[in-house]
Amino acid sequence: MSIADGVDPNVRDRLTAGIMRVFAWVVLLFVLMPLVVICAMAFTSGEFLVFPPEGVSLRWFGELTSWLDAIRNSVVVAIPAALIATTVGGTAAYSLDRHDYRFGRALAAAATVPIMLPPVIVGVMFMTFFIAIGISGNIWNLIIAHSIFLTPFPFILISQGLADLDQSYEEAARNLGASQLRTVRTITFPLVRANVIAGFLFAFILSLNEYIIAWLLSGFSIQTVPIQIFTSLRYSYSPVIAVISLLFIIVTFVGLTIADYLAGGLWE
Amino acid sequence: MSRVVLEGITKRYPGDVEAVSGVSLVVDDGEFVTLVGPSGCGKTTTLRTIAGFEQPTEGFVGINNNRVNTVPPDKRDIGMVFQDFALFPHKTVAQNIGYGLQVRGYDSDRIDDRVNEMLELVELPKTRDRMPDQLSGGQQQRIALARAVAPEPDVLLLDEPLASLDKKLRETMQVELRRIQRKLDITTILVTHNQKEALTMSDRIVVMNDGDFEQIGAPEDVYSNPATPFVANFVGTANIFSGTVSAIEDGLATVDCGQAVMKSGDTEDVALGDSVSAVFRPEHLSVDTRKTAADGSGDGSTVFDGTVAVKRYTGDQIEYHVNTGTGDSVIAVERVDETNAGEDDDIQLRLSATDCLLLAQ
Amino acid sequence: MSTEEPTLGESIIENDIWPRTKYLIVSYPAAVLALFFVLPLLLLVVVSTFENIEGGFFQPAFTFENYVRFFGSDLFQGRMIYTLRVAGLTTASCLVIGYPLAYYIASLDSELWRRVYLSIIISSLFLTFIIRAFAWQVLLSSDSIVPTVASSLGILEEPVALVPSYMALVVGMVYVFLPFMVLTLYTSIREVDDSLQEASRSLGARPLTTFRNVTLPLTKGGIVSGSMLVFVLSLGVYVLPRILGNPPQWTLAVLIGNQVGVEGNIPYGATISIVLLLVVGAILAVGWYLLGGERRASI
Repeated sequence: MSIADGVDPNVRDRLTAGIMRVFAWVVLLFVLMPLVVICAMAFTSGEFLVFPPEGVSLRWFGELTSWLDAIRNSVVVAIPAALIATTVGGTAAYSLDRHDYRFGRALAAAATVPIMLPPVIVGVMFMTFFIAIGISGNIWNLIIAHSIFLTPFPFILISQGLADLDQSYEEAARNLGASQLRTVRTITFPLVRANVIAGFLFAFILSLNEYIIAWLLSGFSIQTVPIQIFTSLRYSYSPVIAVISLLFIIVTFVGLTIADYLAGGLWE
Repeated sequence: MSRVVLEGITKRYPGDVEAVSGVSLVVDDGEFVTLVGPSGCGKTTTLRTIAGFEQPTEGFVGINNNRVNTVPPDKRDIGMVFQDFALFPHKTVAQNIGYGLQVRGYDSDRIDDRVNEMLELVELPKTRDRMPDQLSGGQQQRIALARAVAPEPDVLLLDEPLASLDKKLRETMQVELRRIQRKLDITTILVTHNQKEALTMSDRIVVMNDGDFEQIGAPEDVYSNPATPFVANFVGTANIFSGTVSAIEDGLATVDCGQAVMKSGDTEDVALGDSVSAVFRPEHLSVDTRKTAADGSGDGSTVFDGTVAVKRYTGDQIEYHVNTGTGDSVIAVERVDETNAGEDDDIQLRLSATDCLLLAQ
Repeated sequence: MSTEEPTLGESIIENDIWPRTKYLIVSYPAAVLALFFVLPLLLLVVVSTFENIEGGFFQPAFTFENYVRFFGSDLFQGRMIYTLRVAGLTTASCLVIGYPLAYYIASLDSELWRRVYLSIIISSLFLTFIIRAFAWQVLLSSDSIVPTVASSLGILEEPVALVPSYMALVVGMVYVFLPFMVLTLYTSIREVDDSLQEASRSLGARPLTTFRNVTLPLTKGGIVSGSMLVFVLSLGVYVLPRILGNPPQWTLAVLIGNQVGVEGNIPYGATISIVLLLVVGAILAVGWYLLGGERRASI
């Protein structure tokens, strides 16, 4: 007999539920806290990155001009990277869904594994590769590295979309006279378009946010936003960092919410 | 001219699984042929081979005397209605029906006219701008049909088109489909597992089992003269007793089936000592409660005495499952106002020798 | 049997392009992945046996001296054990904090509230590691709220920067990886049939017993998957230990980055990478086995 047994079961149950709820709220607060911190920092009127902030002002938003190059670099890398990832992942998904190949499993593995490797290792791997072939410090090194690293997202999303797609739609189209190509264009693609766009968005957002591969491959010649944040943290430590972080958070949140919506709410 | 020819079609899968085993068939211009058989007998595979979605391992598919094995499905000029209808979910009814015409490059006026024509044909003009998920099952089925015939194909294929409809709707659609087919005068091949459908709709039926065509013929012929026990059992209901021919005399064969002795007038190709299946239909048995039965076993009839184990009333008929002590029940059928025996009643069934068929086992 | 006598004429020979399309379409992704993934990966293995040249280059040599150096060095060996320890601590903490949270959310009746909680958790996932690390760094730096509060509560003598430190690192890691654990566990807990718990309860078992005997075993798959996920992620993360920890607290991943990006010793960096990959592979293999065993046992 423990103490708990002496208490009326109903009360005990409600108590447990109550404790759980408090616990949940504490943890979620913990999860949200940094967001709050960054928001607060972005609007501080003070000179330093401390929490709570000294006052409210928009002054640091004006300092964003020094970040324009970094933003441009990030976008210039992310768009092609996401495009390549989506085309590679998409064609791989389509091929594997429609046909059998002897090397089919190997292809599926190669399209899924990159995101499972520690990013720092992926960075080293590509660094080695590009030095070995004699092209280094080029922005395309980073674009290619990101493309491969992020291919699994569109691959998995589009594979899922194709798997859910009934084969008979395409057969009906072919039966009505549409060639393979035309069928893909008018029937298959429209029906998996949401997954394709979701895959692209995931890859784009993740590329924007990626630090270590970017640093290893181009950190000395090209600065993306995460790289500049890192550098700023070590050297200048001003609230501008919070501003750019906040902007990035908003972009990320919007982009991924759209992607998640399109992909049909993967979690439930 | 749009004849469809199957010449020795075989479809083998890895692992030596033969889905279709060397079947041949000629479907004439304008004919309505049904492939009927149980699940897994290969009928859908055969249909898909004609459509071009499967390649035969051996044999040829011919349309109008040309071999089309190497012609891809989009070039075969065949219309197909799929089992789940496969209406494009992202296109309206009109766009669905017009798809085949668009692919052929017709101008939009011509497409519009034809779409309207098709909607009139299937009697659904108001659904023009709806999306497929707004239609009922029966409506989807008709639109699928409209879509398939809009491009005026040579041949129409239907893969279990009525399978997902409820009974009442199915029967209505059976009539509709036949009406439309006659109107368009299009060569049609339908696949179904429902033998009643096959019997009511077709010019000829093909009974398929385990990859083979067991019998091809007009519905009446297949029903009254089944070629094998399987056909007898699958098309309509049949009583089947296996036995050995113990005597043949004056055009009357006697078959010893264990506890039942059958008399049959079907003496062609039958010899003493043959193993045969004696096959007879429930409606050919005359039903009497024993008290009123006359003793007429001298005229070559087979007589069964037994008790009613199960009585099934189907509205227009009564079906008796009679326990005659011979192992399997004998199934007999009569119209509602006749004998009207009850369960556990004694009953006598009489089968005339002409109604007893003998088939090789 | 059929009594038909068909006669067919000539074949219409149409271009049967099916076999060609099949290989045509796969050639693009296959070529890209082979050239830019498989090849670099193999190259990594090979380069780990190369000799280092100053300035971030290397020359071909088939030598194991890098591996010898790694396994022989106390520093690196100790560091590997340290890395595993940090990952283990992070995983355990995530499990202890995450399971009740996941359970609570999963047991909520209102779908709206479930989605709200899940959205909060998922959206924190979307923040880049760097930003999250940065936020914690701010929170824990000397003038900020956490040390200030702690000092006035008497936990600390005076407000001192809590970062970089081991504690900051672990807190940061748990913070960042908790959502992964929660979401994996949540999916698994949701799959447990309510009726099983009800059955247990109707047979007289108290909630705790029900939990121990019914829910927990049935969510073992989720526990294994979630733990593996967090463990592997913790092993490989670069940014968090780098920002939130002092050099003595840097994990293997940070060392790899250092060797390659700062010291310019690519072959050695490659060597450590291969070792880390092998460790990750081993963990995944164990996890796979455990999960497979789950499936085998449940039959």
